[in-house]
Amino acid sequence: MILSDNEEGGNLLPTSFPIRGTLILITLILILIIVIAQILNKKNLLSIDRLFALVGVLLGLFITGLNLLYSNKYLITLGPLITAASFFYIVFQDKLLKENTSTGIHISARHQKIINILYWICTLAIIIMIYWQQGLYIRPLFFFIIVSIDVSTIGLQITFSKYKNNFEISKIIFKILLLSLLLKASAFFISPYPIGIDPWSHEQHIQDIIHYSQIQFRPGADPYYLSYPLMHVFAASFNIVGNLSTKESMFMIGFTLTLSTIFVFLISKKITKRPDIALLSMLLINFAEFNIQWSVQIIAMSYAISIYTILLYTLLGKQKNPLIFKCFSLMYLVIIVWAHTASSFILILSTIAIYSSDIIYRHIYLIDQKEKHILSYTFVIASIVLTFFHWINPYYSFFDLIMNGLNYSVSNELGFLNREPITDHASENIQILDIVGFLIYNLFGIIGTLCILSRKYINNENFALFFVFTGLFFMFFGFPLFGISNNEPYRWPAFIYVSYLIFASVGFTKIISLSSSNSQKAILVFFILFVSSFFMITNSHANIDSPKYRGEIDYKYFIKESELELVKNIDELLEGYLTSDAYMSERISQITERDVRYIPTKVHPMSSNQETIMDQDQCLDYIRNNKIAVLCRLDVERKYDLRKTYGFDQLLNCIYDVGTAKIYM
Amino acid sequence: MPDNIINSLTIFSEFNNIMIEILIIILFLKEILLESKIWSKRLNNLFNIAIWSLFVYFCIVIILKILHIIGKT
Repeated sequence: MILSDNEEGGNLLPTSFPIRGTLILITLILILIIVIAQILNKKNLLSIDRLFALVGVLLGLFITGLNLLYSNKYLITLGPLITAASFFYIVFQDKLLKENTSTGIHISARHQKIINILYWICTLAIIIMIYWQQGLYIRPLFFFIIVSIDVSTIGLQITFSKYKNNFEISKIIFKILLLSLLLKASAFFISPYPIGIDPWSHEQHIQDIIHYSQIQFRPGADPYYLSYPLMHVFAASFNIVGNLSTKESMFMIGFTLTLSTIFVFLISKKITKRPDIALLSMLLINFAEFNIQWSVQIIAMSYAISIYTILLYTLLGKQKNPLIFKCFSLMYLVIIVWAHTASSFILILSTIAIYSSDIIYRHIYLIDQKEKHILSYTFVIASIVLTFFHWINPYYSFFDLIMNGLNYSVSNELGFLNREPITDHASENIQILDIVGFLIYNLFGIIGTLCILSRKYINNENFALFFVFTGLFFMFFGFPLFGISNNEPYRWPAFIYVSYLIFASVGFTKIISLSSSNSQKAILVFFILFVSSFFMITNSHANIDSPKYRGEIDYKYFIKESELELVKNIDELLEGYLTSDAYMSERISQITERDVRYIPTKVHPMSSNQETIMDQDQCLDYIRNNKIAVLCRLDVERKYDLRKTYGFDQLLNCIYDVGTAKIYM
Repeated sequence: MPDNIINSLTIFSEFNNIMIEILIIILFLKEILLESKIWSKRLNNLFNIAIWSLFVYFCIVIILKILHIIGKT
């Protein structure tokens, strides 16, 4: 994540803005610490949750200080946020920890009907808009506003329902799933071709499995996923049994991921014992950017996230039928290992976190040692052995690949002080809008975590989940900070959210409970959910078709009909080589079924065969000598942009231009 | 890394696979039996001895594999 902001690297020290801004922030945080010290002195009590809050204040200070060395949109905002949220908890601790149940809140039946009608009007409006916008390749701003209003109405129903029976809970779950699926389908079916980069090859793999009726890929295809084929087999089975197209069968993976959020509801219900918090967790995760992203860009990890969610439930919720839960957890362990590599690594970390949290919990909270552990060490070892055994498979050793990548990262990329500061791009500041939703979720997450860590609410399952997301967050932020990117940290939040958003929903409920009247509560719930969901569903992860904040520098990862026609035309006209940027090459190769080369623009740390980047003259000679046509996408990520990297507009002749793609000779 | 170790790694790779497969079966079996009525302290000790000895073997295999990879690069 941190790396993606600074693709080129650099040797500049931060400009004056981050230094000045950071110094101001540090001063403010120091003042806060003095105030906290005064408050603690008055209360004369240092409980465990308050201790964690103090650690939070210091951690915020530390992260803010890091901006002096290197700055990006996460570092500049998260530090002050952590400090402010921890400070807020210390000040309002007594009020936040006061027992309250939203199930007792009453609003009239008439108001409930109005909220319900509003939900259905918005849902119908969304369906109509999806229908009318089909084929335009863009979803208007109004669409996202309507979805956010719809999310807020569900939030109101969650807050003000009486939960007399399970049918009431089921109705809200149905509404969340319906809205979530509509939003994801609107992004997924915006183009008739796969959305994103990797889904193209996954679509091919699914087609191959259907064609050969066994786990086999066409000659020349990358054999990597022959060792991790379960997602493709799952999608292929939908194709065969349900008579769906490949595109629709791929969406069934997104559908499965959406359905798996029911298990977030179940985990949350189990540890908080409150249906409103459990439903809120489910609502938050369904409209979190990374959950939407991987439900739209279907890859093997999308399937693995749903398995991870179910597995976490089987590990934490096994009191009633332990034998059945054990069998299921072992089955899901095998599935996740054979489905995706990074996901099984995240699972290993999660099981280690759950096991170690159990031991630490007993020491911190002085709990009876005889109590049964959540997880046996056998399961932890089983997950480690099974994963690594599969990784050292001699037919395709993923272990060799990651060790080579790690070796390369550690020896070549440890450039912490050489990062480019955020202010190098004029529009980078606008990118903070991209993470507003993430920051709001974090505000609630921190407050919810501190509440749950208090002696009043803590239990070993809560503490285990706390350990899981803390460990994963550390990997998410820590690894890229030190230049190690071969564990693909930008994908981790999708897994972190499974446990973290339960705590965020606790924090949300606690903050809402601070307001005195029902009308205040209703306005707060509506406003907070509207703002957070709007920024979540419109940011660059969840919305790759209709960018809202980043203007020219934004990119779209799907192919339009006009671009496809361009490819077909050049395929008919040109007998020689066709070359493109790295993003388009695989797509063109699949469409034209001919060998398409690409000009590298960036060295990938995972690649064992390191490609060299050409300079401008070498690139021009290469194109002249081989008499090739080069196809460039205009709205691709910077790392793929050949035009800017090699200055094609000045050096070559443009022979085709369809607005979003050009062909140069 | 010395050639004789690399050779022995190749020769024994099939043997390694069998040993690790046995370890996985024992781990799975223990996980399931843990919740059954036949589980006893004696069984627990027997399984623990088997698991830890095979796990140490597994760790050695992985460490040698890492050394092999780093040596190549």
